[in-house]
Amino acid sequence: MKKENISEIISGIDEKFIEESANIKKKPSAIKKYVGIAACFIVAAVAGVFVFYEAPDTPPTLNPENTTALSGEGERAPESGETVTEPAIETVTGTEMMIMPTWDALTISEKFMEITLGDITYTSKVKKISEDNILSFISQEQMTGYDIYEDKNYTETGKIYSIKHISEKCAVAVRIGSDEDFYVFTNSWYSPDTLGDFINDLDLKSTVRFGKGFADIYEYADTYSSHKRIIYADFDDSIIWDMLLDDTSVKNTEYNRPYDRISIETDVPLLGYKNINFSVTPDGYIITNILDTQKVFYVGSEKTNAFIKYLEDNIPSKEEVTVYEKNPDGTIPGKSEEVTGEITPGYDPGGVNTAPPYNPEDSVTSPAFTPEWEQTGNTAEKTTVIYDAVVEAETVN
Amino acid sequence: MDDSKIISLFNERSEKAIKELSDKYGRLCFTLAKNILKNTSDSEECVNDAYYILWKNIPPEKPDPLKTYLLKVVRNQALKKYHNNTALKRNSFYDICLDELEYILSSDSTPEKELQIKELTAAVNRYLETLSEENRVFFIRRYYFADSVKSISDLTGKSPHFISVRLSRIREDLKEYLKEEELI
Repeated sequence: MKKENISEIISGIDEKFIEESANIKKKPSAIKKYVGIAACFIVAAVAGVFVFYEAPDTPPTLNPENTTALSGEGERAPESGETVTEPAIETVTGTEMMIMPTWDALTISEKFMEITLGDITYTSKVKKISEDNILSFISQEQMTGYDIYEDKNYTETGKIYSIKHISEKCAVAVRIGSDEDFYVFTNSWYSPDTLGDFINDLDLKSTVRFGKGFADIYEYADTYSSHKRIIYADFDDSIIWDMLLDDTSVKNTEYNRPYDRISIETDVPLLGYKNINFSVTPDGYIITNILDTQKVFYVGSEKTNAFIKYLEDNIPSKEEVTVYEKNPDGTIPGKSEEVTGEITPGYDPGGVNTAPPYNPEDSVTSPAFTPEWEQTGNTAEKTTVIYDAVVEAETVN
Repeated sequence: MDDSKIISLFNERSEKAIKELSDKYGRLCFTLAKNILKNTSDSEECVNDAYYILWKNIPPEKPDPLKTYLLKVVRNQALKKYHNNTALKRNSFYDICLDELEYILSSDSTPEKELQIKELTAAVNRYLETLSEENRVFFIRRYYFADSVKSISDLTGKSPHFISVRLSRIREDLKEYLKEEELI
């Protein structure tokens, strides 16, 4: 079928589905331990070459100079002049790369990642929960696991239990097969109507712990950019409860633009959440991703500004400043690893991106390369990365 | 600003309508266009064209929801430009999205007539109705919004690997569905 016609079919998708997908709120990435390993590997391989990778806009060609930068063990560097015509499985970027363990190397809660009860599908947090925190047995359901290497499906029985303090709408504990342990499974699509529902469903007063506060300030000048981070010492949780969370009737709403904010370290240890987002914006919003999806409550700018001022006036703080100088050619800052992670390329639905802005004019195009390699080892049986791109490196102005 | 207020500004022929529209949805529109075009200036032009189209069409039109309407216009503009720009040149990013579906939607013998396109569109919509919300979001973000797997991962919190596997299953499932409906 002609591509124009495929485009036309996709353009004819019902508006209600488009709306549904356009309105979903951004979740943090499900960071797995393997990503860290893979990220280190790829950073080591390409350090100093690029700030980040973006999808291509011209057909792939190869530059032998660049392939030499990827001389990792086990790598198969394409030959000079070779044009890779094999379509990419997915166009991936450095941070997309994952080393997937073999089926046998996965733990039971990594093998069976989902369980469905009624109309709720819970996802594994890969975290054990002690029997003391189990309330009661709910149901027994079938679970499916998929072995990507062998293309095989496995099934196992999951026994679902409720967790003390936590509504079943939010999370459950699951015993998988003959395994003796209980594992936390959460409902990432949970969306409370009000702040009160949110607090009650997760019994946040007894399950959440707040830590330090952070304010990030970015400055962009002609010759440098800087990032100042003000770190407020740990303070009493009651300040947040009293100053921000006292009106439980406020509705869960949306916040789709970049924001200045104070971020507070937030843990929900019972469910395995550590250092997740709880932000306070000067224009009156509280934004958190407890239970993965974004929850937004408008409590009013009077309250949020009073809170921010309270921190400024009463809580000890220290500042960390990082300055990024431009290279003489005006392109990539000297230490790419310092800016990696502060620039978030790619799609940013609704502008929720919290990364500092970058100047699109301030970009360079690097030659394309298409490396592909396989790595073998105890846990990584296979890793395939196909770069099918002209790589754009963009830098903070 | 509420969408209804933005529509009112359009009705009053206030140029503030464009500013409010741009403040609220500009970045979303730009990213959608850039997902398809991979070119900053083309994408900006495309979004501006979309604003102009809305300016011409409202009133009499009263789009509800405004966001979906705007996204459709932006996408159509981006596709027009994409097809013009890439008549000879392959845009490997968006083409990969289309390649993935080409295999699913290819028919062996039937010539592609307008009726067939309409039938397939209707069937795809019926199929989407059968999916879970999560699977539908994966499919639409990938093929309508032309999001990369990494972007969908950021959006949904699922790993890129998980999404790739899921998309692959959805495509196979869609192919089976269309075969059963005797459309391919």
